[in-house]
Amino acid sequence: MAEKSRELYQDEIDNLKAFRQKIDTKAIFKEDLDDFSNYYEELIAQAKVITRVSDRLQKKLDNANIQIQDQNVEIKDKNLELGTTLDQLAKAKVGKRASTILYTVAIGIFIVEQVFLEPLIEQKLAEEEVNVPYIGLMILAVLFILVKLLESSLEGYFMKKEKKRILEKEKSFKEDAKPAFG
Amino acid sequence: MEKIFIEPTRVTPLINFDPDEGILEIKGRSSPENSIQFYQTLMDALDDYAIKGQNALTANIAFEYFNTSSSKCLFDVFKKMSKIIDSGKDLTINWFYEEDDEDMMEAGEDYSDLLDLQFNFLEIED
Repeated sequence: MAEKSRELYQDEIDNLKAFRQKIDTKAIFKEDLDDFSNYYEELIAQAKVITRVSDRLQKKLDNANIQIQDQNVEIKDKNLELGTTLDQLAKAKVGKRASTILYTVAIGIFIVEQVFLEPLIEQKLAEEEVNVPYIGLMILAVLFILVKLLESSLEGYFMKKEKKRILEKEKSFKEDAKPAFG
Repeated sequence: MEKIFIEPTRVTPLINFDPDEGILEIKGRSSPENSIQFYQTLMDALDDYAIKGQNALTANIAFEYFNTSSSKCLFDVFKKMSKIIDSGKDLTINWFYEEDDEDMMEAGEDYSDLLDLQFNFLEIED
């Protein structure tokens, strides 16, 4: 096995050391100079190739980085688009739920008004001998206006609930993903 | 002579050297923390092969990427391969590169020109 603490340019360093030792001893011949100039020439050739190869591969990395940046921008745009679509979808879902509840409430109110409230009021008015035309319709109209006002606050409540649910889902997804990268 | 098998990682390539079969495979990405330490075992094995190896050697090399210090180590690896030719054995170097990866192909050409080694350039289709 070769020595363990080798450096990247170990052979070249060894050649340089050997040449310097020869200079120190002053026992230097033309052959040594030829050898050293050959090593130097090879080192220049190596440096040229390594620089060229590295530049090429750096270009490859730069291109990959540019591609990643472009893809990141695209992903950001798609995420925004997705967020908007999800928001719209959630709104539609919440609106539908609120409408169903309100529709049920409205039917309930209509039945209560028709069965209990209207006969009671008509009886009271008859006792007082007061004639108010369309009293039943007026009561219904007031009640439905109140129900309509309730619709927006109901939608707001469901929307808040839906957002909370999405955030919790996202949080648990992130927690599940954590060990994979840890 | 012993076989060398090094599993690939995110920063080091697969190395599979079978001296009995005369096969050397280097595949993947190379940007190790200490390139010389990583390639030293292979370089020593190639030195041994130049002296004791019985067969011709076929080297299949397929890099996706390598860093600067790895490019110096590769240069040294090819220099060791030159010694195998000098020792009278046949050497085939297959340089694989991904489709349209001209940079990697030209990197192989640079080594081939500098070391005066014959490379077979083979495109890997996606």
